[in-house]
Amino acid sequence: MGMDATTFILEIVNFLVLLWLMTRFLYRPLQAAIAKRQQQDAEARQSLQAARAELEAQRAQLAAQQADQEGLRDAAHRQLAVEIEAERTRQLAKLDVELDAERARAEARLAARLAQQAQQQDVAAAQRAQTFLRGYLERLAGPELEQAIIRLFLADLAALPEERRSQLLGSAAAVIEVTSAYETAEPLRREVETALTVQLGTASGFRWQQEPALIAGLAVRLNGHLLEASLAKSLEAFHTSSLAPNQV
Amino acid sequence: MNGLSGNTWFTVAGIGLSETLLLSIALTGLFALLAYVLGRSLSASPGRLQVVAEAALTLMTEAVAEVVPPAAVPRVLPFIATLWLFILAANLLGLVPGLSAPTRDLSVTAALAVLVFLAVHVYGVRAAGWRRYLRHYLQPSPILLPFHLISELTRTLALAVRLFGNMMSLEMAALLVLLVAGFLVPVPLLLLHVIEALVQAYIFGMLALIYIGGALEAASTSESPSPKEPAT
Repeated sequence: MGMDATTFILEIVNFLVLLWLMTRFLYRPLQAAIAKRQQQDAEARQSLQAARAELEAQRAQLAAQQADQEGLRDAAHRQLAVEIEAERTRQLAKLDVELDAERARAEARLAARLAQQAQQQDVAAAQRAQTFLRGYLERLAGPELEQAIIRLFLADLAALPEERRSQLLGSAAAVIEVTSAYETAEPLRREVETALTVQLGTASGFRWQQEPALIAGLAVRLNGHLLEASLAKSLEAFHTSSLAPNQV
Repeated sequence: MNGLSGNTWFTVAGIGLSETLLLSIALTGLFALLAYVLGRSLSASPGRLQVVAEAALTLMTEAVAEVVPPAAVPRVLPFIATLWLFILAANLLGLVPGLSAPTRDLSVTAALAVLVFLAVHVYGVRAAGWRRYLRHYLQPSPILLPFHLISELTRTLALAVRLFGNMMSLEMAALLVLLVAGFLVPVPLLLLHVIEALVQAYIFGMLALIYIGGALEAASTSESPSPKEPAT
């Protein structure tokens, strides 16, 4: 084992030169490159953080805007609900009014229809009654009944009020037509002619004729007047009175 | 190779240039060329070589930062990194057929140890000044000054002899096995040579780093003892 002084010294020099070369050409450039990259990374990271912060701010702003929009939407929904409720109330009131009017009209139509039906029923009842009475009176009619009616006629004629009698005065035609349903007996004819002459003041002549439509009774035709006492006339009066509206 | 010292390949002006010295100079030239090429080709988007170099430098920076104060890392890193790279390359040079590792020469390892010895004091004095730095040899008691001085000498000697002895014995063992055994038997020993080269370079650099860290620590607090030397 030996030490070579030349090698020893030159090795020291060699290492120092190597140290200088490595420091000058390798370590410093490499450290500078690493530092530069780290700086770039830091800048990029800072830029990313700034971008992230900006994005966060934008997100927060968007969230605030969204909250505002939701608030406006809720308010609009509430306003719409209020308007819908008001409109619904108004439409319901309008519908109630229309329903009341329609109900009144329906009730009026029903009342009219009921009144019409009642009138129709009255007419039908009157017609049935008239038919029944006509048939029944036609079966009862006969010379005796007619004679009784003529007697009633003569009694009524004698009991005419003065005003009515004055109207009949002078209304006698040249020939007074006297119509009966049956052949009138001669004495009764004379009684009639005498009573008429008394009531009319004058009488030139009478012409008797028969009309079965009278059923029973007689009719006297004057100028502008008709004196009648017959079952047909009575039936007509019954029919007319039954069709007339009820009077309170 | 003549004995334990390197052969003298050239003699210039009466000065013999040994094989180990020339190989060391060659390594220096190779490193310088590599550093120059790499330094010229640095870019923002690094290539493979730049990535490897940056990774190695980052690893070494972190290793140095674990021992010395952060403020001292930029000053200490070049010396320690150069030690690691040079010793590793010098150790691995023994694997090249026909060449021997420069670190199996005691002159080389002694020169490196002396450089470490000097570097420890240079860094210590630069960090704290002469007075404060020298004062730590009197701590905790002036009686311990001889022991401190002996420690400085012996650890420097240990540095030189450890690296020299390991690399020399490794190469001797490989040579003996190659002479005795067949062709493929020394292959595991060559793999062991690689591991040993890495380990010895690491140990030498770490010890130097610890010594420097101790000097910086002693400079900052003269009360605190120097870090203990790890066993090898």
